[in-house]
Amino acid sequence: MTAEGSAVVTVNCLVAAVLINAALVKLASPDRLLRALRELIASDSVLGPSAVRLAAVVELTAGLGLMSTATIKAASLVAATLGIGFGILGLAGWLTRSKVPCGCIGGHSDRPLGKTNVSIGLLIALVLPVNTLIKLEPATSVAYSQWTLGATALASLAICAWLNRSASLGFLKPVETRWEEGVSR
Amino acid sequence: MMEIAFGLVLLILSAAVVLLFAMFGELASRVPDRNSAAAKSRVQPVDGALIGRTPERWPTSLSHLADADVGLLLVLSTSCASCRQVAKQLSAELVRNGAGRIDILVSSASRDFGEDFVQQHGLGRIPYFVDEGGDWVKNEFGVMISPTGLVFKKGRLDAALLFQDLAALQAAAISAPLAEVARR
Repeated sequence: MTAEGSAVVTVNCLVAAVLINAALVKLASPDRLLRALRELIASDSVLGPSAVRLAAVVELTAGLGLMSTATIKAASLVAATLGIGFGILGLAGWLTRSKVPCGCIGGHSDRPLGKTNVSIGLLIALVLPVNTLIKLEPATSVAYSQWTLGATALASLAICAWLNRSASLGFLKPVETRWEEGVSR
Repeated sequence: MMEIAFGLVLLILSAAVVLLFAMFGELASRVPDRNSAAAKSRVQPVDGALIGRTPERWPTSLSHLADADVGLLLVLSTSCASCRQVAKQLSAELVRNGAGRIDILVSSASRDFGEDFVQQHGLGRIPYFVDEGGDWVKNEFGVMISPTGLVFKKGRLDAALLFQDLAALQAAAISAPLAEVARR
């Protein structure tokens, strides 16, 4: 694979991993983002968990679409739209000094919508110009899918490990320091 | 094709791991934080405690509880982290206000561990009983969890309260129907 092809694989893998992680966490736990969005738009009548899960399905589809040359263009467009959407939400959270943790990108930190979302949204949106400007040769499509599937899986695991590092490290601590109420025998 | 199938399997496995962590996070967010101020000041009754029971026999060091109008016995264990915190609070309370009328029971795998716990936290001035294996407190009052505060009225168990903060336990013990604790 050429240097340009490698760049496309790298960018698409990272974006796909971010989208897949964010989508899976939203599917399992939509409430955090919902609370953050309700704080932002000051209304609880429009949005429900099903709306967040629908957005998660779109994210998941876009992430998976980036892994095949047949669907890469459409997936780039959807991913870029989502990225711009994340950026706008982050900007809105930043300007309104949002305080509700959003659980964004699959994290469980207390960080609300803000600058990080703007940055990540813009990085996700970059996938469209990258895939538009750099054309992959038709012959590389199988190799592309081979690389992206494996690399996205590893990137996804790395993101998950990083975002859940404090919870994971908690398991490595001695039991006594975590166990607060001991049985007396 | 094999490489694509392998990549697909790897992706599905990593998605499962991500999903597992997502569900773990959701579960963790529903559990109250044990270290929060609210959790630390919470005092709650111990399930299964034999309220109203008068023990058949008292350990010698705690025998005065049989006749006392009101008594407070702290059940601590050498194997629980909260108990060490309570022991430190009690030690500080001793320095500030003296021993008062609090007694302690240390549940421990062996007498030596229990004695070490008492000495390590400077609680030797308080009447204490090392309950090996926690057998006495379990058999007499059905209490198998620590730290617990047992409130006695004339030797009869009046309340068994799970706590993490000594001041919160004392405040709860003062409230009705345990008002005599405050007046003793």
